Amino acid sequence: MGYGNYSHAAHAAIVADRAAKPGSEVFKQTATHMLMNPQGLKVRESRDNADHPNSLGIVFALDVTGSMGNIPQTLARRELPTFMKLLTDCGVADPQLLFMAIGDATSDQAPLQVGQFESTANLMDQWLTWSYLEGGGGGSGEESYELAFYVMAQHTDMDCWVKRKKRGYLFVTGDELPYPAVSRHQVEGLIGEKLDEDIPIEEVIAAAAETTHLFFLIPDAQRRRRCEPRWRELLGDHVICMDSPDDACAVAAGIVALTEKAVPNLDALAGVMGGTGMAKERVRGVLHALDGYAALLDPTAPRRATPVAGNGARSSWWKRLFG
Amino acid sequence: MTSTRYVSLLGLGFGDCGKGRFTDFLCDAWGAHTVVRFNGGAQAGHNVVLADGRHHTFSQFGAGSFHAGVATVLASPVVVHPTALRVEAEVLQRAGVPDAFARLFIDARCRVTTPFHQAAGRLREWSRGAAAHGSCGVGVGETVRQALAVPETTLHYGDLVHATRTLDKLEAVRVALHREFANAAASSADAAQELAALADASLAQRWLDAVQPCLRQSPPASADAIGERLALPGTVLFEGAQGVLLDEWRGFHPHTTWSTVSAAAVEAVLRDAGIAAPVQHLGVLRSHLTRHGAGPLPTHDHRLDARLAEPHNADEGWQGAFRRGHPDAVLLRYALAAAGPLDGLLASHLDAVAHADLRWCAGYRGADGRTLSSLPLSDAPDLDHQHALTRLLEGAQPLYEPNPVASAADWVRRAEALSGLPVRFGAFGPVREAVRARDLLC
Repeated sequence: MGYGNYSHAAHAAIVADRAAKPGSEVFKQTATHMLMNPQGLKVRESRDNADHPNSLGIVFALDVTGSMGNIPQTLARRELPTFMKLLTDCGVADPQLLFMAIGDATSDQAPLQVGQFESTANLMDQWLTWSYLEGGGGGSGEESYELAFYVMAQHTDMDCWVKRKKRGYLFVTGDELPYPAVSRHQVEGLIGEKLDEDIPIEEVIAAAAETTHLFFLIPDAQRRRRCEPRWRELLGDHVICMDSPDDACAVAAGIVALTEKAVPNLDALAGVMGGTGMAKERVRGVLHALDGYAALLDPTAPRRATPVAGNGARSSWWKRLFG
Repeated sequence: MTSTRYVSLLGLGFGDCGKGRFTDFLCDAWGAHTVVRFNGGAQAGHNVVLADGRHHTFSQFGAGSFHAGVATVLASPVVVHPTALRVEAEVLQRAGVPDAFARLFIDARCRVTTPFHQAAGRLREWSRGAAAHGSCGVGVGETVRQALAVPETTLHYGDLVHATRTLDKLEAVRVALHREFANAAASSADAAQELAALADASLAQRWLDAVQPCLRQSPPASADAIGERLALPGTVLFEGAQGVLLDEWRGFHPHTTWSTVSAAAVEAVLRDAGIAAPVQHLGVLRSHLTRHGAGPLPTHDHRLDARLAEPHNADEGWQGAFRRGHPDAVLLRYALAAAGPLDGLLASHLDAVAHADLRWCAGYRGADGRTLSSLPLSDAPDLDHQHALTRLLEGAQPLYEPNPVASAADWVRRAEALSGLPVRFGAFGPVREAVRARDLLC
């Protein structure tokens, strides 16, 4: 006796105005969804519960600038289950996923959108597809990635950290530079809280890193050269260059599985990925992206030396996210 | 003359005694066509595990739902949580039950719980601080409380098809609760969120929108329709929620739930459906006692907490810590008296006997030094009497029998001697295949 999971989920959903929407409404937002608007943002919580006793908070901050158009629902729905299935198959218990959308606070209408931590693919998908894909971007070569670190540091509360001193994960995807500092004016305008001064990007990264493993995923090989050095300065080996934006979910799942030691090494990860029916080509691409990071975790492991060229033919919503 | 067999499963502990698995088992063994929920609400958590590894914690759908064609009836005293039904149906779908709603009948007279009830229930429980009663935080108690206090605003499942009427009632409930908690300080971010729900005039419409799919798939059923279902030839199981030691009138006040657990409650539902057939009542108990959350558990033993695994009951969340105690003859006698006349017992967790070193508690030594072996049952509902029992139990020292329970057979013989009832079936594991009939128990 003593249960209420379904009820909690149901009421929480309605209180937060997340009544199920028809599936056809994928990326139909024409402005920041009211529930993803960070104005007045308090804390996004990743909590343990009876179904998910070992919650692990994982945040995706997606760069949504660029020309987007309407993203077919099927594409959006394909990658998320992949991510969850990979984590599950690797033995990572109880991931809870939050989406943020990052734009450009100097020129976009919707520079920052923040969802909620969810533990089922359906609910995650809801937040993802509520993201407003404005398609703007400032053209200055920068996007407001620093806001993602700020939200992570200031506005998340994760049981994995609070209860178990186990860090959560933040994956920022993008192909541009961050602004040098979190602007107090932007924070006041977007979130409505006053800062005494701007916070240098290094400081906000250090603050976020206290509770969270931080990664920057570069999906676009062409623009990698321009942004990679700066991100290396900021995040070192936690900058991951992918062969294909298609791989973002699998790469992120691989990073979590390796870091959590749910799989011992890349070979084991390859086995799990193969077991899900993922094409060999794609498995190789993921391993290639993870090679450096895996070596960092286990310096004694043999390096893999077969770089795979990105497969341009594979279209994906991730790619389209980055325009 | 009817060819329908009516069987009830009544918990004789504080819950978690295995009603879910026995409902699943009996649906199979006796070919039941309908499972009736006759008490409680969405705070039930009945676990069913299948041999292929699938598992579901049944909250509002009947624990027979894994069997194709078995219907669930939510009968009138049940407090319905429509949106939680949607969430549960989705979870069931993932477990391989795609048509749960199509097999669900909800009596139009069932009371309905809303986000406002949940918010108020939680705020009330928080305001009790260390004197918390124990709650699942679902709003069932608050829904019943309000239905008693302000009956005209009670929302029934049948009301939901009338949007205006529903919104009027919801607004009345919200405004009243908002006023009541207007001066409450938000003690935490969670409390602030609940207060915000009470302040949110647009929430009622959003909630009603979210309820629509539930209404479409399980429209309110008339008493006649429920009666017809229950009169179908075959077997009907009444799946009790909670346990009689948590009963609103017989449990240890205030650590009880707003739910009546008794043979009489089952019969009232059947009579209400126009059926005067006899019911075979079965009491369900574990080899040991457990309790989730606040309230007395005299035989609680930390060593048992460590020894006995509990995969489906976490310590986290609203309900609080999960405690385990030795089998208690005093509480068993009391439960049997409170539940009403029974025809047999179903015993779960008999596999735990072998390694848990369980001892029967034969009696208590009270705070005044006297010993007792039974608790008095009041003649009429009397919460003062129940509160006195609570205090007595809190000060009671269990007096254990010298030898541990040697085997499952030993436990069964003792339970039968104490109750004067046969143990009809015993479970040696979570799946229905681990249930054994009487002649294989001893």
